[in-house]
Amino acid sequence: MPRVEINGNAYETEQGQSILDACLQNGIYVPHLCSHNELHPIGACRLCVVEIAGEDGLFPSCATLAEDGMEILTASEAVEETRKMAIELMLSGHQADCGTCIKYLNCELQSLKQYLIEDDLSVRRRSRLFPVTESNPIFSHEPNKCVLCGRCVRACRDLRGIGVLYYKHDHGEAYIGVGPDADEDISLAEAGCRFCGACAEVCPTGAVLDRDEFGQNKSRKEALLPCSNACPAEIDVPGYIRFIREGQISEAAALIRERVPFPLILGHICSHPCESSCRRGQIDKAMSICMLKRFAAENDAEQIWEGAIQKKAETGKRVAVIGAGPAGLSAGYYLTLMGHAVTVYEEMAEPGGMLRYGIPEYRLPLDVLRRELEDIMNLGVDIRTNARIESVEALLSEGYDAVLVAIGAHRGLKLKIPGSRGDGVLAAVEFLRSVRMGEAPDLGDRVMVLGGGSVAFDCARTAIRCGSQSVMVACLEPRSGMLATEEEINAAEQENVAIYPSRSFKRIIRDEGRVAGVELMDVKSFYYDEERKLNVETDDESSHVIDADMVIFAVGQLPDVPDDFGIELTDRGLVDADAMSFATGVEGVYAVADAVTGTDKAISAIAAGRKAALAIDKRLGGRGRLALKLASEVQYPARLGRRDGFAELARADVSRELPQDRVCDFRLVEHGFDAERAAYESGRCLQCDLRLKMKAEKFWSSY
Amino acid sequence: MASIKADIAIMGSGLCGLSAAITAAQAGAKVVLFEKQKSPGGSSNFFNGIFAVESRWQREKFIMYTRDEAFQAIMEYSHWKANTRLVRAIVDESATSIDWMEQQGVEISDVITNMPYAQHTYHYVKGHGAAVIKQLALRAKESGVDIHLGAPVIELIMDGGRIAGLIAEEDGEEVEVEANAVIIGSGGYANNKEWIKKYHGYDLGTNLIPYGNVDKMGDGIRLAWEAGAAAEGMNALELIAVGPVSDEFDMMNDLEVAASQPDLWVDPRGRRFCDEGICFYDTSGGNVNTRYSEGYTYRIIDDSIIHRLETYGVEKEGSMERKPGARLFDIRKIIDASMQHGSTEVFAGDSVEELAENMGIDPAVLKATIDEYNGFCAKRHDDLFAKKPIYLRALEGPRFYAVKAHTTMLGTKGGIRVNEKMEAVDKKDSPIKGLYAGGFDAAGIQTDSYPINAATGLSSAFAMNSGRIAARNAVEYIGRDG
Repeated sequence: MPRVEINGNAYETEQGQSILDACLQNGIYVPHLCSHNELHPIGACRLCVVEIAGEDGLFPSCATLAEDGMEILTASEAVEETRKMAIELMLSGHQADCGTCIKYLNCELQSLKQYLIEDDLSVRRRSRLFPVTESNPIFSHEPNKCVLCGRCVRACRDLRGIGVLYYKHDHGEAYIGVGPDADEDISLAEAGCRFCGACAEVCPTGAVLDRDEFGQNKSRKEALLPCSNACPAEIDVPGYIRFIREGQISEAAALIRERVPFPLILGHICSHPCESSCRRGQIDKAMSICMLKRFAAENDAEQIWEGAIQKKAETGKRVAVIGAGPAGLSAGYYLTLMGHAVTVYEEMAEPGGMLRYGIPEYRLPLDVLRRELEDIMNLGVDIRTNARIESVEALLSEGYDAVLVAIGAHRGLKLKIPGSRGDGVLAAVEFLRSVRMGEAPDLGDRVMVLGGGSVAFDCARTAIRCGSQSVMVACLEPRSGMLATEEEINAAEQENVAIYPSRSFKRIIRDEGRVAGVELMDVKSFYYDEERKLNVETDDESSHVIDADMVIFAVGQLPDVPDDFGIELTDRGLVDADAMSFATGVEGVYAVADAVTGTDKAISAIAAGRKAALAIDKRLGGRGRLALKLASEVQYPARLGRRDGFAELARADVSRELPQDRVCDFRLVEHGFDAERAAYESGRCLQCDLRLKMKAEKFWSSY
Repeated sequence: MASIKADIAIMGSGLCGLSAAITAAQAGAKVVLFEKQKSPGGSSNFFNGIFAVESRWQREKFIMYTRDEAFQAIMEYSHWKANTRLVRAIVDESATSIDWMEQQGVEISDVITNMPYAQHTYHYVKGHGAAVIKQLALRAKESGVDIHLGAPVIELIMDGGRIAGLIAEEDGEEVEVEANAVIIGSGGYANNKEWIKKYHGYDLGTNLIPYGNVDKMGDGIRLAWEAGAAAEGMNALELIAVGPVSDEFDMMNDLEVAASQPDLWVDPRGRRFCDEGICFYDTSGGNVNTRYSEGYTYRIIDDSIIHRLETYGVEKEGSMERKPGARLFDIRKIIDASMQHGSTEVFAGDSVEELAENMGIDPAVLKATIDEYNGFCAKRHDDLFAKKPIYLRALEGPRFYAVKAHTTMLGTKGGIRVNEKMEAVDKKDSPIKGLYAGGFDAAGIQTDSYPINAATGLSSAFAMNSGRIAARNAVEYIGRDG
């Protein structure tokens, strides 16, 4: 180990360590700019110069090794003069708009200026007046802020092995451009950029900026890793995609299971908010994240998660969960892992809640559902079916230490328009439930579904499969603003569901009591006011009637709460519980998911179930923490390498049963990816997580 | 989860947080400070001077403005809506704070004013706010303050209605801090789009531009409200009008300075809208801009004005470096570059009509405005807005230019209701035990506008004085009750 003296004090250094690193490691701050933890030093910026006893001149400490016996001086008149000259030259051409620059306070140049410049600059500023480049996806380039340290060039070329950035000149000023041609810049996509963001990560100022990072009311992680952060369960999306890419499928499945107990179910039915926010979507199309999750769950041959899962010691506490839907079962699962004894009471004959009795079988086959429900039961969660709980009080008196109300929202609403009372009008959830119980009602030939969300499309597509000849969906929203996903709408249209967007429902027309049609109006605009009241502006002349034999309302659900349940409800008829703590007005009773929020995504219910479990654990004397570690450590490569045409890699298609075949029965419509397709699709990922693993530079103020 | 034990925990490292930290640490308290950003100081990096009355500097220069006069003037400016005891406490503390700053190693270079007919209360600091922050941060460390950067506070811990500590986040991990007092100085909510829309009706970034504020989400205010503190003054913003604003322009570039002079200003439709002599009072310039929901007005200049600024210099100073008389040489260069880049901030035309067309407004309206204005210049009287005759100078061309001046916000002025001890209080003025707030997070000092000519430098002074007062009271509180 070389021993050196820094500013008169002795320190041990590591073999092959630079003087700069030796100083920083020992808490001695030395200003530096062009060097970076992750990059090879070039000793160009002159800010990190030091004196070495017995040697003439100044040495860039980043590019000089600490040698045994060296006597180093990090501050002297000569050192300070050189540093001041260097930073002033950088600042003289650096655009001075700190007051509106979004990088401010996270800008290394600003921090260095604060450290090195005592008053105004002694050199005159010059405006370089380069235009800002906004034409690339994801990143903005502001060359007037660039100080030509070359970190981005090195990060792209040396660290990532891609090399799309080059030093160039224009009207007598140097700048960093895209592509090898000295006279012309090309787009990042054309140059072969992989949009990993290493350039923006190492930029010490605001010359390469992530447009998503700033000014969106988001934390840095939320902005830069939007897939994981859009996921209510915060699944490590890039992490499991990386495992899939590397062929470690069981690791991928285990990583998903660290956050949710139902990867296979979610792989079939998740509405994937991750995909809507995927940064690849800014280049061409989002990653097919949900299908990759399904691939991992379907091909989890080794099931390594099972061996890795560990229950905490039994606490002797008992928790009752009301409702065996995704929220209740997730909560039961995690409470069990934390050592509590859980009993789940389910009103219906089988567990699963909306997964069992709401979502149609062509989206989620029974065997898929049962497979993962078995995992929950195998863990020791006691599920009692055909057990409706009428009173929370009665349950508490059985000696439970806590009760979680997870009863979902199973009471379908119907609009109170003329004609909506009587036969021939159903609420969506009741219809779907009866079909999944094998008791499909007689629908008639023509079915009109009112509503534009996922539930409406589940109803329409189920009605087709029940044999109705003509199925229609009418909704308030315009075609582009419907709440169902694009995939659902397209699939329904392929199955000959007719869509009537931008319609207001006037009344249901009856002929001698029987439903004969629906009167609709064209909607010009609509909005919900502050009291959540709907205001619709219709075209007065637009009244029209569409014939129908059956009307299904898919306009929302509320919880089905027994009369003497003993829990306060809100004005809207939802269970009244705190959104953060899940506490209700009754001591020891918590409530979660759809029963509290109204109908929401399955993934939200699962995530909320986990959070409620943590809240209950705190009440039961636990720490309210659970760090499940099921997969091996994710390895983050530094090098990506060139891949020509990366930006043009199209999103992998999903193969589906043909429309004419699939409407005959309830067979699963979408086929999962095979290994080849999963490998291809996983290769499209931008790997936004890589840059967050880079070791950031600390500023003077942190020493 | 890591844990820290301290006497006082501080949120924010601006003038308020650092002043509080040093004051408390020097009084013997164990102090830990959390700053969300990687660099310390927040908006305090941008101030140039600080308000005080009856300071040593003012005595030496025979500036006779008294504490009583300043108190009355600030209260009058707010039409007595400000918190009287709070204003009095800040004014009375101000001179001591100047001495205190200097004891901490901050260099003050002069006491000045930078506008006509205003009080000399601005104690100009060397090296701008950035140098003050650096000095105070170093002094805080020397005094034993444990400073955590890049570490947002995410929760206050309460125990039986009093403060018991806080939870912060550092390197992705939660840190639990046990402390009997918390001082909040996190700098307001200038970057919180939802709050700005909700409380002020502006679309942030569109018709209101934040300046010198980064990532101010109202974290401290929200935490105090959750702890039971009352909301106050969520209607006050510190506004100015600035332009051109875009990523390619330097702040305070020569064109911006040229556009801030008392020449011709017109609204988004091309009509004149104020006495441009208010340009010396930034607050007035900002306030008058708010009449226009577009969030900008135009500054019209021509070759004759550019020539005047090149040869005789400016009247309204351009930051502190370009005092009245400073000549501007880069105006044409910046206009040319703007034209080349197709900027939507700067427009030009060989005639008034051509300029108007390029701006996208009715040429007849702009022509009528300029003809009328030139008429006022000829007869040396502004019949419309009574601008002083010395600023009436006709626009003669040959080329005409328009620059957008945007409604710009230097900070928010409301949030946590406090008393004169800087204790956060509820609606009935009962203190939340152990909770203190200052700076942009605390309400009651500026009720709708910044009292610029009565007390220039008041925002920075409030931050520093409120921080010191909060720390003194927090130290007393933990000694007594903690």
